Amino acid sequence: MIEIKNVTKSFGTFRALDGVDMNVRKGTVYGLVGPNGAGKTTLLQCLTGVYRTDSGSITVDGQPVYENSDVKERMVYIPDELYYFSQANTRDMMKYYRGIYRNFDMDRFERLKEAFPAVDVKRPIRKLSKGMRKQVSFWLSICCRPEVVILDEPVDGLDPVMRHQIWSFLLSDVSINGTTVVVSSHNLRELEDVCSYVGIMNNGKILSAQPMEAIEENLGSMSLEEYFIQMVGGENYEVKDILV
Amino acid sequence: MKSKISLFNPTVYWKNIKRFWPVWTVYTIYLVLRCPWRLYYRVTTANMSELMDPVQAKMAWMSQMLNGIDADILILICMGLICAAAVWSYLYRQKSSTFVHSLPLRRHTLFLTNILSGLSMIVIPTVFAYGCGMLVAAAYHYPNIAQMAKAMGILICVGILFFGMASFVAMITGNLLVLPALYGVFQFVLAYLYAILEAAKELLLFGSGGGWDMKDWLSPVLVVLHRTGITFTYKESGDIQAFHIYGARTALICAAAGIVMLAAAWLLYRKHHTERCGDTITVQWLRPVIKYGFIVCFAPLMAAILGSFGLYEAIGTVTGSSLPTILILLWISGICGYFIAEMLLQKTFRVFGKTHVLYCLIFNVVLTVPVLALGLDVFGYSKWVPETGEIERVILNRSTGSVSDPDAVEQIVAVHQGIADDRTMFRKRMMTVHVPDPEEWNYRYIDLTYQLKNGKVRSRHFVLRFQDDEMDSSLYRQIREMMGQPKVVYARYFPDHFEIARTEDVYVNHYLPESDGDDLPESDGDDQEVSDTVTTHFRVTREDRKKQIYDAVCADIESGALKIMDEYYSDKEAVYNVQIPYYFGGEQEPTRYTAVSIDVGEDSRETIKILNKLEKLYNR
Repeated sequence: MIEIKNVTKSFGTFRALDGVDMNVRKGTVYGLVGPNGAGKTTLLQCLTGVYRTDSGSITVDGQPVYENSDVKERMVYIPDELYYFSQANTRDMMKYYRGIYRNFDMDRFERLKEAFPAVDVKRPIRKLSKGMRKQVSFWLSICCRPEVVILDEPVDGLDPVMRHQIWSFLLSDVSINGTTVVVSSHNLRELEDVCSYVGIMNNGKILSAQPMEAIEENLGSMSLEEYFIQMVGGENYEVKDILV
Repeated sequence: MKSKISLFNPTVYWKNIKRFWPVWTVYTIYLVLRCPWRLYYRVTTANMSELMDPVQAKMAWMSQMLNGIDADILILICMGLICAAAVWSYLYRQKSSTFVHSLPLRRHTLFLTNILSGLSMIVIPTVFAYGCGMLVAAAYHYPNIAQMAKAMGILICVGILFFGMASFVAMITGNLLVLPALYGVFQFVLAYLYAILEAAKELLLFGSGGGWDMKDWLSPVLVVLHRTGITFTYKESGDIQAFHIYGARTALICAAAGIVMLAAAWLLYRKHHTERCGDTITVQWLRPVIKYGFIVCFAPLMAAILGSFGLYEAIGTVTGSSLPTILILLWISGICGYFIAEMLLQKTFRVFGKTHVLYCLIFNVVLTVPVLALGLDVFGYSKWVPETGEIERVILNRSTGSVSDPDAVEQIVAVHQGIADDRTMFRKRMMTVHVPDPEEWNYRYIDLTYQLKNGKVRSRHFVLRFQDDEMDSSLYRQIREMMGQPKVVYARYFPDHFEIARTEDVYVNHYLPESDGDDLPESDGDDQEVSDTVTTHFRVTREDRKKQIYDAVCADIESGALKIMDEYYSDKEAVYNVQIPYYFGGEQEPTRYTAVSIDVGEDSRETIKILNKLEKLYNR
């Protein structure tokens, strides 16, 4: 469904993406992991059409994403840092999303109210806690009935109950509606539970992209975290030497 | 499958209008108070039955209201900026930019919708307020309502210009604080560069300068303020006969320019890089343009400031000449300008790398080239003297009149040739940093504007420094003779468009010797006034007497008795001063009013004779 071919993106002299290739099949949850500065957020922002790539192509069902509102209408993006209009409350943002996304499901919005009881829809979003703002973001995104959900550090700031609940909604959408999810996270444990595919990124490249089952087979006695460190070449020094 | 093209998104539009309601609300309140409310308040609070002429009163109120169009334009300059800053505000934060650009909206949809939102905040309040104004005016029978519609049209056009400019600037920068600064710079940068160029020419190029007129079309603010407004025609009683809003053509050009700016803004937005949020300049290829443009603007200004602090004289005493002194000041300023520009662009003080030092040196060398070209006159600017045969007419020393008489023109060209021949000496004197007492020099200013037969206009301005022992030189004599030439004197006093038939009352001042002041006659009626100084005045109203004065002045000029009386060309005191106000223009251009002022010395016997006669007549 999502096909990324040889994508490069530079910021000045810094090459953030260096020939990234990635394929995500419909109805899967693709986890993107990598150290800080690996290029995960840049890749997601290219994938959502926020950044224009320097070269290469990004397509969804064969159509380019950048400047293609038809494709983008089938996608939602929840970034790490959320944005809402300064005075807006949840209801205002719902109206905005409804005006932008033709598939916005009003019934779903009303039904999901009980799933997010802590969110006061009339309260300005800027006055809500970080976790509540994240809940609002998920609430509105799910109501857009997206075919592709792109998440950047999605559950940061959410309590365990809410994390579980949100993943339940997303995974239900994946299994019932064939929604595709691309998620970047540092929380390997969480990805292990939800992802069917995992891509490991470092220095602007995808080092490895495998089904979760294949990774689990390769782990042997290693934990997923140790496997990740081995892949990205981290801890090639003795910590105690540095501290001494 | 190709995406359906949508140019407008109502959700984004209404969100903008709702989010930024204080902007258009305040503007609407201002316009309503200024236009319909003012007209309504005046007409309902005045006691119409007590007014001498209600129509005249309404005419005055309406014209007063429309006279405030300049204030509206100044407000519009701010509105253009505020509306652009509002609708493009999402471009200045990474979070908002990411949010908006991840939505299923194409850039052209976003652009057009934001442009329409911004323009709505300017246009709709204007139409509403002026529309209400027209209704009030119609209800209370105000005259000349069509002029209100014209004023409204002008404001809308000007609004498009300033919003277009601000939107263009908004695409260049990624920082909300830089936006107003750049917008302000864009309003005046061309006029400023023109001023720098003229100042540099005046300073460095012998034969150049002598004052210059600001070209208002180089600044959008100036062009709008200077070329739109209200004119009045008056009855003989002094009442307003009619008023007329002018500048409709300028306004249409402004609107067209605004649309061009919006088109340019769209081209930039299409290529806008979201990741450049927060950068001072987001357009990569514009960064060097703005950087070096900044240095070109900054360096001369800083050099002038440093020079005014005494560095010009301090360095000049070492170098001895102004050219190397100016170059040194310019280099210091250029280096500062380079690193300041770099700091502003990179938003850091750490810009002193080897590469930048190298680029800075290269740029300063490049900056030296035009300065040297001007200072050494490599294009032979000061050498040029026209052939007598190619001259249509000459304006000497910014006289209002021109000289076309072949003999007089030949005399002027001979003086110009003399100056050109001695240009090396005069230029050297001009370039000398002059610390000693300036009184040791005798200055002569010669300003020549040639209108050539091929339609071109060429001007030269010379500041000539003569030493005392050069006062008898042939050039100096030639200059004196030229200034005493009757045709030159006539042109000095009477402009080409002067007609004695279109003059108003002539005022004559008589300068009396101080000892006579005690015996001055008392004031006697309208035609004669006596002040407590040693000057008496009288006014000549009759056409035949005005003609007598004019003929006498012409006769004295022709005989060489009446000369230009100033400190350089006459050591005589003026006895009379004659002021002749007159009208010119009409038919093709607006009628304008000005006055000729002639100082009459004791040699001007014909003029003094007639003035004495008239003075006695009026004193009687």
